[in-house]
Amino acid sequence: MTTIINVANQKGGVGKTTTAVTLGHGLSLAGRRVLIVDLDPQGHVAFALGMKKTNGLYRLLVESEPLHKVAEVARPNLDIIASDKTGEAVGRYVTTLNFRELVIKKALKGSTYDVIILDTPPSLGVLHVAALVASHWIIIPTKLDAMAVDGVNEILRSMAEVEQSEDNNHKFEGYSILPTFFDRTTKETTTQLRDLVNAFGKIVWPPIPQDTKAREAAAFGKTLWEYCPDSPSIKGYQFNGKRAGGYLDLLDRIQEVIQ
Amino acid sequence: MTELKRQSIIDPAVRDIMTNQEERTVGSKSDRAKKAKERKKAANRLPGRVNLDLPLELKKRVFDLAEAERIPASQIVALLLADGLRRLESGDLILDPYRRPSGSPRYDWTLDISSLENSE
Repeated sequence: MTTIINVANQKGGVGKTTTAVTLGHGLSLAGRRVLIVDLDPQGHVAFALGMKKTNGLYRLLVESEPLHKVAEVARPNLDIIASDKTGEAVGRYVTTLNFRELVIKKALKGSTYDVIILDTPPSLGVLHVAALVASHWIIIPTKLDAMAVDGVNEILRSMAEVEQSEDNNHKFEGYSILPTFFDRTTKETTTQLRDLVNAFGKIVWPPIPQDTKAREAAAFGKTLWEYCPDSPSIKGYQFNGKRAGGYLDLLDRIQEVIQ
Repeated sequence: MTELKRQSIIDPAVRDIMTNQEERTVGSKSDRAKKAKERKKAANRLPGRVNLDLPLELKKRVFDLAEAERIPASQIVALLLADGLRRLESGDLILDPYRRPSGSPRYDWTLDISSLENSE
């Protein structure tokens, strides 16, 4: 069975694409067959993997081409459905459909992948809702500032609406909040993390440390596993003989979820 | 009777990071406070202490002399300074032969004492 993971937050710049690409490549390196679907017309999934932006999403959802024909090989075990500016037209087209909220679920039905990761755009459009309806698990990356944390509330509200809608008949298997760009030298970061934990408890997963290497990796079209596997963003924090946070921690947790 | 155990509502790894961060914050605050206190204490204890840039060779000669005479280097410097100032005030020592125009906006002159240093 394919597990569909949605990396979502209506707030932009919180690390959604980096999380989607790093998690996707990490899972593929662990031997899973992975597909990343870029639902954002900015097309940054292809960019982050050093590939050309294409109209893959348009061909999948508007021209109804089969998944296996549209998917492009990014790395061994890792395929992507790329996006580009035609992604804007996809949103407009989907709006005209009768069962628009099910469009992604239908397009991905019968896939042979172990995991599909949806990288959603930073907006609340019909594709955003369709991505929620298709997903088993939601990862909500958030920066630790007041506006981004407010974005977490918004996405949780959207999720609640999806679950309450009888048309969708959908229940999420789970969700987690992933603090990103975590800078433990600032007081605001600490305060926001404490507030987030107080509000959501165990749903808050260990943070991803702020890391310049992560920005550099995208510029070279390399994933973090390729460019800086020993960086803090991958390995997290180490203290008192323990390791916590970073994408390695996220990978371990997601592997438990999809087993 | 089974002992009741309070359930954690925080992910253990997140709790570890938060605890570690709090410890670091407390630690760095107390370090800063300690350093400031030590600096203040040192300033009170040694009000006559100064940092001056000296030619390396001159510095070496002062320390060699202090070592040879078994006198603290500070006291050798104090004696020579007192003597030099007395000679300067009485006109036995004049600055003019050593004056050179300064390239610094802060000073008009620098002193070139290489002729004195080499006249051992």
